[in-house]
Amino acid sequence: MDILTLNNVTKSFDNGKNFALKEISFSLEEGKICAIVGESGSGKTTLLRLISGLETLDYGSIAIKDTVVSSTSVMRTSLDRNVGMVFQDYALFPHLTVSQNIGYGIKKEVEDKVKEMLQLVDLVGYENRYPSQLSGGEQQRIALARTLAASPKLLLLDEPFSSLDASLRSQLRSEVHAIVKKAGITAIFITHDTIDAIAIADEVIILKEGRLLQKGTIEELNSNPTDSYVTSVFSELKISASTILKALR
Amino acid sequence: MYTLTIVLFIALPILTIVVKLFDGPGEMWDHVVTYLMATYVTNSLFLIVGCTFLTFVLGVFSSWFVTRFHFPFRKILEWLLILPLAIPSYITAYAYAGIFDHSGSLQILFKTIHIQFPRIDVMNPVGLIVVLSLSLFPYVYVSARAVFLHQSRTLMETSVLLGASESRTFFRVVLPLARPAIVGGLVLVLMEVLNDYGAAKYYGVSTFTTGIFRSWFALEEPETAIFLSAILVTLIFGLIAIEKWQRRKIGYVDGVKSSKTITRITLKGFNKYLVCCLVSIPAFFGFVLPVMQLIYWAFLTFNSVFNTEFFGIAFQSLGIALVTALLTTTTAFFFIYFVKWNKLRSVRFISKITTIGYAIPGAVIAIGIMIPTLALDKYLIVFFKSNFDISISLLINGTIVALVYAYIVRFLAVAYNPIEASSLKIGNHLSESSKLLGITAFKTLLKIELPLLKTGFLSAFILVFVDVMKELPLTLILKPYKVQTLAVKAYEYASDELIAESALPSLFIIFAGVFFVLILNRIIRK
Repeated sequence: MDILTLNNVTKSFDNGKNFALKEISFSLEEGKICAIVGESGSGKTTLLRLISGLETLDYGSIAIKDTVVSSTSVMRTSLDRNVGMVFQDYALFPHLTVSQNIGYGIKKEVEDKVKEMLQLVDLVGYENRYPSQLSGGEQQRIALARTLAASPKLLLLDEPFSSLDASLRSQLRSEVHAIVKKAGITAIFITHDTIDAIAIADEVIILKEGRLLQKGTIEELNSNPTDSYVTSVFSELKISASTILKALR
Repeated sequence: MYTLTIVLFIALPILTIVVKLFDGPGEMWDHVVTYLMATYVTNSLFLIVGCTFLTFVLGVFSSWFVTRFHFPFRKILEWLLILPLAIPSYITAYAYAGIFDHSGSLQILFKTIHIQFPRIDVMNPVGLIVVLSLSLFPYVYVSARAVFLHQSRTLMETSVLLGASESRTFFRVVLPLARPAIVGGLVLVLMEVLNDYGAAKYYGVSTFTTGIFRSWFALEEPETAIFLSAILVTLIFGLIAIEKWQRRKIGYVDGVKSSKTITRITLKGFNKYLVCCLVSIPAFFGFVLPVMQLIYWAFLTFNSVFNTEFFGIAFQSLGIALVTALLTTTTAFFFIYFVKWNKLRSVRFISKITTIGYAIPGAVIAIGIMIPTLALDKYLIVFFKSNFDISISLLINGTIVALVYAYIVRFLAVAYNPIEASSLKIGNHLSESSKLLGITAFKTLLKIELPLLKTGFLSAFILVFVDVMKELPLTLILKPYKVQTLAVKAYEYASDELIAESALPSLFIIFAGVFFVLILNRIIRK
């Protein structure tokens, strides 16, 4: 069953002078992890913000579980959509402790949920620390725990690994993949790094200059690219995507 | 040695107070403690608590509304909310006394439309709190707005995505993160409240500052004034210590600033008018209404006040403000570059010392300078008489020299901060590159650093100029007999129950302030 459906989604800035996204259509099956890959300015972040309800669209529609949440006439709040988002800089509240951060969006049985989430991200014992007392990787896991604590239907991750160094990045890739799969949630993450997509995603969407070029599994995109840009994305890796996939998983 | 000289130059008033404390209190001290101290303490604390609450409400909410929302007249209001700073608080106090007087503007207005309206008495501690808060809330507004403008957008969006409402996000995320800046603004408000003499005196509210004047001039007992000054300075340093402590306690907030700053929400329907009205309240009562009252008075008294004497006073006021602004910025520049060139380790200590002056009330600085300069003058008179048989009069005390020195001590921090900020922005690499190319340190200063410091210099100059134009308590004590400033003239008119006559000198101070604040804004934007 599809959890997310986008139909001809179009978004422009500066009163229609600059198009961020043009006629984007795709759907995403429940339980899958989808990577949106593209260069800076390709419209990745705008797409995520439209899905989360932080931006309004100019044309088209977005539906979550068959309910239209964004269109030219409908604009459901972020809360109504039940969508969680982890920002690039994690956006942990610096004046709140780890447990207060995780419990921020929960209304019932806060303590139990916080414990459960800390176990999920393997950071039990960190309850009373402040974000500034955590490493980059720990901050990311707490941000993930906080988002998952609110039990969203759909998890959005904005460049989750971009601010990490190379060694931590590879460790976090497998950790995030494991946590998301364990939580059994549908997730979309955006990245400009093809290896991130290969390592985590079940499906990949390639964006360029606000247009969707191709959507499919890593193997499909690698073996049957429909655009020269898609070919270039994988050819830059020098070795085949399936080899990397095997090595990473 | 150099550091010691700098410290002595600035800290002389405080050191004088400390040394003089050892002489013991005067004969009237017991009288002050028995009959007056309780009133001074109660009133001063009441003013502190009241003004903290009211300036917080006015400053924080107005800054949040103009930063977070789009609504009609937002841009104009954003500006108007800063302008109460251009009006000295004692002048706002005069204006409100006139508005709510028996035969004041409000009563005239109601009589004209045949409505019986009970008179509201503002000449009491509560009235003083309201008036001081309307005059001083921009300190909180400016500090809070600066933080709100740079508040991380992702933090707010995260809060919303986690299900928090706009108000919960404000109280649980935005406000705690802005706390250090807001408290910083509140400390400035409290320093000004404790420094105030003109408004408290006019409203008949006895505070520590009015007590210092009373002990010195009415009771003619400097020792008692010094003891009161010591208590006041301890109170202020206590407030500063609390501010530093709370800043350290929430050090985790550092580095929250984000490149993705918050976006404004466009309000629609009734809400946009409601927010517009709410934000208009402090702007209207803090600036528009008092200025309207002053303009009305100025029309009534124009012929009797606007004469050659007024021109002379305005000229003297501008002259003193210009000279002081120039000397203060030069002194601040000298301190900053002296420390930089000599690579003194005590940089932080010196920068802290320079800020002392702004924390100490003007009346205390005046007393702290009057005592040693009087002693020096007496020594010089004896020295010239005994060695050269020449009779000289006072060389420093009661002259413009002592007054300008006191201004420099009081406003050095005002000049120091923008120049230091510009200097830090430039960094060391440009001057180091110039020196590596064989250019001397002095030539590098002239050709590279000074042109780049222009903005900091001009900002410092304007801020000191406006502050000197407004200054009252220090000027009242130290001004030479024949010298007159617009601030003192306005105070004298008001004290002589010629409150309407005080409007023209007051308006001159306000318009000079507004004019230069507008220029400053242009400079900063460039």
